[in-house]
Amino acid sequence: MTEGIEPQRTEPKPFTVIGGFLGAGKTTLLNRVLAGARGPRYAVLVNDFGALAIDEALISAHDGQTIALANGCICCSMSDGFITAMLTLMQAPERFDHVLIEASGVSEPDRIMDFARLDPLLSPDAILVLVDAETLTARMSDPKVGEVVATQIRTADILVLNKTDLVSRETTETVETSLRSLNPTAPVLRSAKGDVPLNVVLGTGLHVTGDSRDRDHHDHHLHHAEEFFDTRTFTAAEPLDRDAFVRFAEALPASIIRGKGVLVFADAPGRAEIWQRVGARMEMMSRLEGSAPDQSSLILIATEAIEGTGLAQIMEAG
Amino acid sequence: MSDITIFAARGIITMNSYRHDATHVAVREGRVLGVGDLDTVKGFGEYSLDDRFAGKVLMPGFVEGHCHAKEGGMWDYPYIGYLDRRDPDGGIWPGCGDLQSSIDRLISLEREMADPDKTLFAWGFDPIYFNNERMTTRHLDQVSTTRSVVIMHSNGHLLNVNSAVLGKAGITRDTNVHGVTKDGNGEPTGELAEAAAKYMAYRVTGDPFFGGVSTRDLERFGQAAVNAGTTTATDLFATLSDQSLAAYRSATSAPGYPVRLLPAMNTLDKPAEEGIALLRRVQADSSDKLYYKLCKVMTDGSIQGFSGRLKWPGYYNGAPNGVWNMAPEQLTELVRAYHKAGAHLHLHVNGDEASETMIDAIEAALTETPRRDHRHTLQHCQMADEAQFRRMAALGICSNLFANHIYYWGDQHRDITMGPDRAARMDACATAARHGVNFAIHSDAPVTPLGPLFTAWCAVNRLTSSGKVLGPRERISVDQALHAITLGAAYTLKMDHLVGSIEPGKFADFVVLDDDPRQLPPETLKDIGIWGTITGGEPHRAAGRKDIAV
Repeated sequence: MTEGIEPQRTEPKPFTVIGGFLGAGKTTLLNRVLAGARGPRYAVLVNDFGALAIDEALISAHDGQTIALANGCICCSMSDGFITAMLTLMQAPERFDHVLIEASGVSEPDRIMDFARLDPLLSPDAILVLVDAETLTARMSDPKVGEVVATQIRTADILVLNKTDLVSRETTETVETSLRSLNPTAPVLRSAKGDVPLNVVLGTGLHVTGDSRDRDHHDHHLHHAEEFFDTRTFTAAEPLDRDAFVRFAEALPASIIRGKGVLVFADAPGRAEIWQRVGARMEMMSRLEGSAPDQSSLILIATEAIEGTGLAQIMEAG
Repeated sequence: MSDITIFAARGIITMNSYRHDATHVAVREGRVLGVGDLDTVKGFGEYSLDDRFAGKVLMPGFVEGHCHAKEGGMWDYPYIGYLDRRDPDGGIWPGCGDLQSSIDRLISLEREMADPDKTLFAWGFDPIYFNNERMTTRHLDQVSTTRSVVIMHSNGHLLNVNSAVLGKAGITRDTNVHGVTKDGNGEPTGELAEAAAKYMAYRVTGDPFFGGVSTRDLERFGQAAVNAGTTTATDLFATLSDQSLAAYRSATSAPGYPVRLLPAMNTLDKPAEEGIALLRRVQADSSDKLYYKLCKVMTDGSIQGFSGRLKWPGYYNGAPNGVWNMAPEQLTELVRAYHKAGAHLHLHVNGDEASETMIDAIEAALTETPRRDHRHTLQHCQMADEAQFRRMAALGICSNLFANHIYYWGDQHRDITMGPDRAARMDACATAARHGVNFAIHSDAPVTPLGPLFTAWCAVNRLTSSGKVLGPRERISVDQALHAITLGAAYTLKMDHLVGSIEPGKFADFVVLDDDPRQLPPETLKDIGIWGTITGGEPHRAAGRKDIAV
């Protein structure tokens, strides 16, 4: 390649880093993703295939460094190094919709996210850091690994406090307090056996087309383990006032874990703008001119009930 | 013609314990029949006397216990380092004494390139020698503003690129990621430090080392070994993919391949049981020139890259502690599993926290599965203190110390990374010897040039590149250093019954020297001429030597 990065024909692919120290449940989560994937074709980069529990019947091809699954997902080994694995993967970006990286127990997930910050074919989705409620306190005070564990927690967009079923309520509270002191802005989702809802942690199901004829998504409430998740979609037919939206977005409560919007603003009515929130981090990206939908749509996932009906209404209420 | 050859030499340093010096060595079927004077060795029957080397000094071929076959592959690309370096063909690449001469060399190389779309890669650059004056796009844009130019630093971790690469990779003043170095005005300088930044450069230029070791790399490596007098060498971080297995097989089985090669299997990329099974499977490919027996464990980074894991008080300049390649408990588990399976481990440990963690791991593994003569070896082992050497002696752990660091980075270790006190005990050969820890010394080529005599010179003199002695108490004698580059290294590889000394039954592997290293001032050790090597009785001439035909 000498011509630089090929021109973008498609939207950049979301790139999610799954970090956390040993025993935090990264592999369990990935096994759930691979077994249950319908729709998005994940490219999952793992340190080795050995820990994955892939049903042999699901494997459609295995060429040493890559396993292709019948559901469209691919697993790639990083055994030749992460840079090599990424260079190989990105030679065929048409093969997947979403990249999931299983960060090694001692790596810094934020530095892995830099790949997506740089590569125009990728778009940073979330740094998800899993924490083992049983061992965190001991890890944090281990001089050999305490600093890297703390760094992982500090840079997370979403923290999953896992294995809460194995410890007392007091321990869970204590561990959550240390997580919040290291990272005050990331939402902390409690889970047992890694059974966090995948649409929450991976953002799948956040399909907002902005097309008023699209009725595929339905609002729903989801009770999950100890958490309660509310997913709501709001629309507005009239173009939005940009300043009002920014004020609204910045004032959203911490209970909003993810949000995505396809928005049309009054000051630029000819184009759609994509707004995204992961944890406490937000960003706005423009789409090309001439692609404006006929309405603005916004979808939010929260740990508490979201009140209101229309987008204009919740913006005013906020 | 007789099947016995007797080589006559001005002197033969046998390194065996019962007869130190000789003048004749008899060889049959690639092995030593006997060594001594002519009368001692001529009794096996009809022989032909080869007196081509009558003016030379023979020693056991040198054993390099820690280098990489990539030393052969690097020379597909031009070298722009600070110190002179010789390529496998014998061509001398003069050191670039300042930043501008590196650039001038690149400018002339660029002019010779026909295809304007081809990337110009070069390697060996190290700003540490230029008072840390950094290379920037301002320099590399003098080479070309259109062609991609990528410079790999000698440490292997940093890249410099020109504006053309930054442009294609979309790296601008607004790029906000780790490892994209920026100047005082916020513009990227073209120095790329972290994986993501290097990835983005390779995305637009291609990675020149994509795909691992090739047959050609190994052929070039063989010639580099001959030039350095080396007849046994490791490729101490090997991915045993089908492609690299085929390359090892085809290169080493070619008639006259001049070096016995020991690839060390990377253990970090697969579960232990898979690695152990793979190692057993590939052992069927072993031959007189190829040995699959070593397993490599990477623990921490490097001292000069501030990524080595250090015990208190850490880096002299206050840099944060380094990084683990894998969690210490996983590394400990790897050691346990491979040890239990009977494997021979070579463990990369630079900082003293890394060496201590691996000594702890080996001790635990030995408690669970006692095994005499395991010869697990701490590689680099640069910062181990005396207490660690005492434990290594007690546990039967070997060390392979990175003596070349004293010359290449000793000044920086004294001033920046370790401070004057701890730098004085880096790569502590004398302490290892005093405590009876078997030790070798190494180059880690291509990190520093392959050349055991130079490495021996470093261990004997401990002179930094600015000419200062670093830690005089850790200097060793010439005899000790010669042992370290022959039998000492062979012992760490469990090859000491085959190579490392000249005695009956061992391979007829010799280095042919112009002079006897024991007869010359120790400071001239590195300057002794190397005619070439004899491997399995077959002479191989070093590139650039015209005397004595093969």
